[in-house]
Amino acid sequence: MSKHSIKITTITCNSTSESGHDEVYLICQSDAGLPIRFPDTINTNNPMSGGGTPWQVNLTLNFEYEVLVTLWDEDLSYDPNLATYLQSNDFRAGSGSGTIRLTNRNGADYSISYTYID
Amino acid sequence: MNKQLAIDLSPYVEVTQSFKSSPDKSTKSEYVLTAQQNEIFAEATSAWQKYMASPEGKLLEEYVSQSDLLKIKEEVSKILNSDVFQLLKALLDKTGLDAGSFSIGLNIEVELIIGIAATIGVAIGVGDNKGLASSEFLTVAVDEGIDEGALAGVQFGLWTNAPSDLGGYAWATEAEGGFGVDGTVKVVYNGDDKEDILGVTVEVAVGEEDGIDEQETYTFILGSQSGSGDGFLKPAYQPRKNNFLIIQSVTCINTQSDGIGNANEVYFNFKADNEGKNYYYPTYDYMSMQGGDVWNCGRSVWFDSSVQVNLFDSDSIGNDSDPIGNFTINLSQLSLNTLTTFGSTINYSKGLDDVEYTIQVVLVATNVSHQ
Repeated sequence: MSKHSIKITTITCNSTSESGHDEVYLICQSDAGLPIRFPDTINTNNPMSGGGTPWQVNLTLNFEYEVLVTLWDEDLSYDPNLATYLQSNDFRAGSGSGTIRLTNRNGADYSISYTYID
Repeated sequence: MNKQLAIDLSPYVEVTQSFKSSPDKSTKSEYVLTAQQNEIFAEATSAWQKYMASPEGKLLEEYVSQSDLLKIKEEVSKILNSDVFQLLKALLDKTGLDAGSFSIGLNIEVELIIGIAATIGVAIGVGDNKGLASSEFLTVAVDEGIDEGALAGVQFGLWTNAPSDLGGYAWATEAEGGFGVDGTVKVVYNGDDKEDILGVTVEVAVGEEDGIDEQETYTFILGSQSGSGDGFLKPAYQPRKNNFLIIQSVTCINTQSDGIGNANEVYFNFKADNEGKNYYYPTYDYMSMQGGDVWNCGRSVWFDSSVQVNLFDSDSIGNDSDPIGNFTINLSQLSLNTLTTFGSTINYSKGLDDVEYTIQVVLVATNVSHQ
């Protein structure tokens, strides 16, 4: 039923939510369906620090109406009960490329770059 | 189909999907049951047949087809209390048993976009671990070609580990059957290590169901007798309904003056059409907000006629959160692709002022085919 596709190209950390690194992973949920995790391996994440190298995500997401991309900081093991919410963005159908900046009051400051495929 | 159970299992499937298949796994193990294992499994499978023919067994089947994960877990924990398992328990109570724990679990198949084979079980300490706290567990395997069913069978297991130490990734393959054991014998390896045997299981199918020869699984410890380990995960997956909206944003006009800083630690739950359980967003944790902040949360919701959204301030640990907003969204209040704002003001008599939030909602689809 997917009609649209978007590629999350890079995620840049401008500032972390805590001292040191944020251990970042994504939960992506299309049309309120079954969410997927990225990176897609248990206990893996992408350690990020402010001004560090952008994360080359290159993740294509298919959706019919919308896809909600949530950034999490994995503090302890795989258990999502213990993860810290950083921010999220809901993508709907569109075209072209762009960058969205997401911040929270704990100091997290991230930029998500994306390209619509169709 | 047991829709609530499928929803309850969905977050575990999220995690289970996160492991990669490992190559070079043999399709059949040379493992042969020991005499001790054979005796226990033969008695277990024999008692199970009697149990399923009893009124208790019939009731269990009903629970599995209708109840949520928590209720089924509770019922599984009671199975061994039945009189038909007295001889089995006497065998397990023997000293010198070469195992760390024994388990009984119900194999349940659910269709959730993909096929899911789940085992909801309880493990008790045996051998040197006799007297250790029992644990309740959920094992999930993602499989193609699952028949949409309810109770697919039972799984008995003898494990090297203690009951609380059965969690994690494992891989199972079929082995030679045992004498008098009326079921499929499987060897379960700890992770990818073919030398590290986690345990041996026997599965008895209900009806004509044929077992799966090889399985990659992930086991979650849902709880234990000692009270540790709350392994319940919250679902985010929602089955489709007729209409689809997005809670695009939450706007904080004024926070609660609760004496713990100026910010509210905001999360919300929602329920569509007053059916089923609440969903949460963020699914875990919260978003800190102060007056003037806009949180572009973007959580979407399937519904037929209405959605109830409740906003909370998570200042306290556990479920002791303060309500900071209540919103009822009716389909009749929405227009397609038009942003609609809903407001809520809560007056705390002990506080200094009102807590005021709004949510912005957009209806993005109506009359969606979803069968």
